Amino acid sequence: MVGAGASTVVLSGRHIVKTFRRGTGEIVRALDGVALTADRGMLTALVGPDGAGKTTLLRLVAGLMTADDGKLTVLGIDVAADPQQVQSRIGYMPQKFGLYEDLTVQENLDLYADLHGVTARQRQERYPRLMDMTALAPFTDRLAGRLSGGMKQKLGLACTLVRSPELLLLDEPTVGVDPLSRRELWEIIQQLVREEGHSVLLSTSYLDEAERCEHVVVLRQGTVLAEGRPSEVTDLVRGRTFLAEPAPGQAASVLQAQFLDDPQVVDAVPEGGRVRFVLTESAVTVGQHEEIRHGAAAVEPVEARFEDGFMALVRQATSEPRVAGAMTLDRPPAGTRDEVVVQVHDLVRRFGAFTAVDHVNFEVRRGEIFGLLGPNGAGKTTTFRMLCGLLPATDGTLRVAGADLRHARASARQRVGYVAQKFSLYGQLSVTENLEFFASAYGLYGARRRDRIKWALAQFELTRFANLQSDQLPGGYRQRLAMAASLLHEPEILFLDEPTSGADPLARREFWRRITALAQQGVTVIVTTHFMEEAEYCDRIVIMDAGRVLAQGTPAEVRGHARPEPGRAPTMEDAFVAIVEEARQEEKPTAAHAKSARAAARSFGDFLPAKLRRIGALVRKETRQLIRDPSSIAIGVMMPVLLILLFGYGLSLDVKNVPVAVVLEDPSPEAAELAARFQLSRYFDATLTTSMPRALEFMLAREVDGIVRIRPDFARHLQIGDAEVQILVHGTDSNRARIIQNYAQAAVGQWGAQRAAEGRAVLAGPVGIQERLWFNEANESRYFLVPGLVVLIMTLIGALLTALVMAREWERGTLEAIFVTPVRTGEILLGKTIPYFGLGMIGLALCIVTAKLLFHVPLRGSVSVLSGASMLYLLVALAIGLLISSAFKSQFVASQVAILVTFLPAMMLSGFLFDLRSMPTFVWLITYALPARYFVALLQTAFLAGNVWAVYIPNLAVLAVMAVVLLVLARLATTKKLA
Amino acid sequence: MLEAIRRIFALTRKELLAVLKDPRGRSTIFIPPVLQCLIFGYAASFDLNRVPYVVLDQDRSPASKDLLAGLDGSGVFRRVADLDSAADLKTAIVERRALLGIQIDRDFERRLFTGQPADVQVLADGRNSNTAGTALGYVGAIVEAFNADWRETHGTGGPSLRVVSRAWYNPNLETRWNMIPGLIGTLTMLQTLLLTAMSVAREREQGTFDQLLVTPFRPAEIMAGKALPSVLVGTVQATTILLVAQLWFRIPFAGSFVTLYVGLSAFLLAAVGLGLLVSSVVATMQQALLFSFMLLMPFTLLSGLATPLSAMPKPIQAMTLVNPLRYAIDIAHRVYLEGATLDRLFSDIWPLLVIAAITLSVASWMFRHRLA
Repeated sequence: MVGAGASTVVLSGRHIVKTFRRGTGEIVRALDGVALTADRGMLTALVGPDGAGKTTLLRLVAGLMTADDGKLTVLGIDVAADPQQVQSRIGYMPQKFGLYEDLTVQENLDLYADLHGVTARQRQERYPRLMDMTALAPFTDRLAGRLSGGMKQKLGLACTLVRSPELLLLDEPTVGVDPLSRRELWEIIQQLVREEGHSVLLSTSYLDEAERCEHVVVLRQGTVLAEGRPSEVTDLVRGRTFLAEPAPGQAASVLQAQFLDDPQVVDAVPEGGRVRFVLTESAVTVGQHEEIRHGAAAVEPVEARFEDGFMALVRQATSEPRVAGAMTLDRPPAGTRDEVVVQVHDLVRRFGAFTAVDHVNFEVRRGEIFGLLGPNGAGKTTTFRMLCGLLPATDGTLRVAGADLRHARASARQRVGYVAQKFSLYGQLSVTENLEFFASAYGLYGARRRDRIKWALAQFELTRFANLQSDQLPGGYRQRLAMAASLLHEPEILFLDEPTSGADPLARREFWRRITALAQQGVTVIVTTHFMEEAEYCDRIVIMDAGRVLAQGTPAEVRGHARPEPGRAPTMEDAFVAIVEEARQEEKPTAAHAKSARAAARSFGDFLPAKLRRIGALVRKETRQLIRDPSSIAIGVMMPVLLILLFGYGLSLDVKNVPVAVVLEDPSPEAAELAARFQLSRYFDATLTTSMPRALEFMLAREVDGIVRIRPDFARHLQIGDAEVQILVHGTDSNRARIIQNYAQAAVGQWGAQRAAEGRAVLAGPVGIQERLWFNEANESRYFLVPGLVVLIMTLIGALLTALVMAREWERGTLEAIFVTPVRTGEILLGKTIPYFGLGMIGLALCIVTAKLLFHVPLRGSVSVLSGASMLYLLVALAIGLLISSAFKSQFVASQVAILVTFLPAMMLSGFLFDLRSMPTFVWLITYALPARYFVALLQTAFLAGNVWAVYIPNLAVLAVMAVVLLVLARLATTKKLA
Repeated sequence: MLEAIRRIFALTRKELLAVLKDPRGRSTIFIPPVLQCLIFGYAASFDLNRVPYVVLDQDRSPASKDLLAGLDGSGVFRRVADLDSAADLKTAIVERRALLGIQIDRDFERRLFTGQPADVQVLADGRNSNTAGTALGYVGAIVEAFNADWRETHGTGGPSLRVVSRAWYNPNLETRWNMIPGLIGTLTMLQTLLLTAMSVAREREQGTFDQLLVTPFRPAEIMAGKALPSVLVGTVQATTILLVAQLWFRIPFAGSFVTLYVGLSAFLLAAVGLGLLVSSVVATMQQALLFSFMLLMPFTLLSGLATPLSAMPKPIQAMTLVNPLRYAIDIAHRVYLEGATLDRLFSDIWPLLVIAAITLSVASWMFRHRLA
């Protein structure tokens, strides 16, 4: 794989600069002169606080962005110059891996295997291992959207690892992944490096993971703080790390808070019931460290680890003297401590046959920090959602602050605060506006609301961002805002679902300081987390797996379950792994393996060229999504059928059976004869009356649309040659009114002609008109409406649907991982267009068949010309859809634009309904730029007139030119770059 | 109660902020209605004014020239060619160079003078039979005028019968007078339905809906807080279109604005109710958009905007009874052109209120029972 003499460096960057503009116009230097190298066959870690530039750097390496300055060489290739070559050879897992939620686990995996050109044999070897590692084997047929957060992350990783690339880029691969899976995952990564000699560059916020790497790069605010072996970072604090044993009765978290506030302490965290702390360099050299104990029962030196060194590095670079997070409540909750505030009894939740929560019992007392721990998919979030009243329980009872929130009055919810897994705030609103909204939602107003918002901004140090749009907040601050919003109404109970997932170590310390402070002031906190060391902050924890509670108690009690390991005190993680593994061993994991073996067997067309296989994979994926989404089927199949039926049966511009009143004021036989004309006409549904006022009444009530008045003395006037018939029409619908006028006139004319033929008095003029309506002798409006439908349907499917689904890919970030595969932009576009092209052709076939069979619309031209023209138009529409989506990248805007520039013109400006030549000149000129115009001309001719090449050729030519130009434009507008 | 109103107000404010703060959101409120109103106003017309026609005048007499001059001078027809053979006439129509072909036989003038019926043949391209039919109507009127003139100057005498025709409310039968008031309802419905249906879907996709549900908001309050901003935005949009109609197209307005706004409010409630109903069933923004579209298409087509309701088969006419747009268009027409007063619009307003009541309560029920 690696040629002899190849460089040992897989990645080298010099002076890399990348800047972004915030919505406020402020320029942010995400990377500011970064230099780094990564060696072949090595694990390199990027670590650093939020906003350090880790993700940006990885995206630059993957060729998804271009640096403003500097030189970045990956696998010996200049990324900026040839991103595709890099993307074909590396593997990349973005932070938010854009899984296709409407595809199953297996289908997602297959898609990436196909895109990377993994053969069936390789799959047979690879899939079982990936399934074992991720424990996804029992779920291969489950839709990715139905997986829990952590399982999605694991699937993303599995998709990235379907092949072994020369360089693997992993952006926070273990965020939200439970400790068990994390261990398995690391085994795979290390195996890749050790046994297969691959190179891995990853970013992580787990510092124990960084410690396992051979090379680390510590980044902060776009600059490199340190680069080298992890031990070099650890060496910075050697001899400065200690463990303190809390005094009897003192909680470790309380002791830790005291240490954190000490200016001579760089860092302090609870660890196994004790507190690990790092002293400043000066404190140790001066020799004061003996005195710094904050009432601890015992202090002893301990081996330094990477995290200690990292914290020292980062704290050194920050100007802030201490870890923020101490906070005070205005009004601590009333009530006695130890009172039970949350009670869960035999709680069960089933989704179909699957039991997500299985007879769970626990109690939480006031002022407690209660931790819910468990592997991915254990049922933690489901339990949470039931507690918060978001999901009904199948069985069992639960009481939160004395009520079941699902049925409780709104006031009960007043006592609860909730922070969801994804910090759910209104991204378009500013920080203050978000706070104002949630304050009002909780019934705060006036001075009280102002005070609370001021409190929140101050306590969470958000004041300087008060007017920033909240989706532009740096990561850690978004979490602060979410928590601030949930505390505005001073809840007694706070629910936090994985609040520290993906947060950097500094932010996590801050977060836990706040939580500890809140609990001390009487707030009850229920929290889920994947960081096992964080369980140490809790008063009591529950460990769940497969919906059941496996262990419950104080951290020390739970730690007691760990298998003793020689040479060190058991950690929470050891205990967790032991408890879960023991529980799992009792159940037989037999079915899972059988399934994963079956899963591996699927691979299509290994013999095909890679390019075709990739396109095939994308087409399959798109087709599946299309078939699964009811809305696509609705718009692609039901809509055409509905429209055809409506147009065929319902809509008609034809005038038939128009209600008219015939006012017969003359009793002569001539007048009666004329009136009879109207009664016999199939165009009119005539009501005979002799009173004009009554007729007017009918008209006012819209019971009739017109009045034919035959005046008194009609017969006499007819003799003199001066007879008159009055026609009065309701002009609100002007088109119809005009047609009524014409038909009425014709009826009178025919009567006259008949009389003339019978040799009686002649009338009308000497000039008569012989009309012939070609191509549509029966004058049926459905003859032109039904063919016109083809235009609407092709436009809907081609432009609107394509714009929408492509914009969705941009919006959901599903393209990021696809981009960093050997797949080319053109292939992505082809994979997108082929299924919709097919759907469009189905729509066409439906139209033609129903038009012919159901409505007997003549099809006088050749079917092949009709299909050819439709294909060309469909290509044009698809290209427009792709162009719109790449220009706007948001579903809402793209759909609005698509309606405005494609659908409405196809309906109004194509000549389908309205005559183009009669439009004002500028509108008429615009129509020349609209593809629908040419297609309508082709359709109407092919259906009704026959093969008229003089019409076919110019219109087909224009459509062909448009198709080529627009497809080229769409190809150029879509680049494998992130905005 | 006061608390509930405060909460609804807060949600309304948030919704409006979310729409109006983003410049793109702002422009999607104002630009599409104005553009659509202009496009439809100019394009959606059955009036003809530039109909190309070809002539095969085999008589080439003063009388035939007189008749054709009537066509040329009408402002409706534009002569594109004088032809020599019937075959040319045919190709001109087949190849779409002309919509009409007029053939005048050799003895046209002679027959006129001898008092025999003299016919002209008119061939029309029926590929769009509506346009062709309208054009033929114009030809009939022009020939009728020629006849009257001829009778007068040549005194052929004989009894004659005139048809005198008059149209109420829209004397010149301009399509625009009919189309643009109808657009007020149509475009407003398009926008409000989409906006409402997507607003809840967006919260679902972004996860903020859960956050909303754990606050003291009751489902009905969330509904009200979502409905109110949409009604407000819809009113502003309707006003925008009204302004374009009044200031740009200068459509005469016979009724009272108060009446129109009362009718529009009932309509907006019904449209927003439908939007909320859609949003209570869908999971994603894509579904919200496409399902709204599935409603909008038939509603627009069966509203009486472009094709008359009374020309539809009875079962389909019955289906239009649940279509709020049908009532809105009727209200706009009647207030605009007939000057109808509120009491006469009652038959349009009560069905709208029923639709609003049903959609809103079903949506509210769905919100409560479909939280998972």
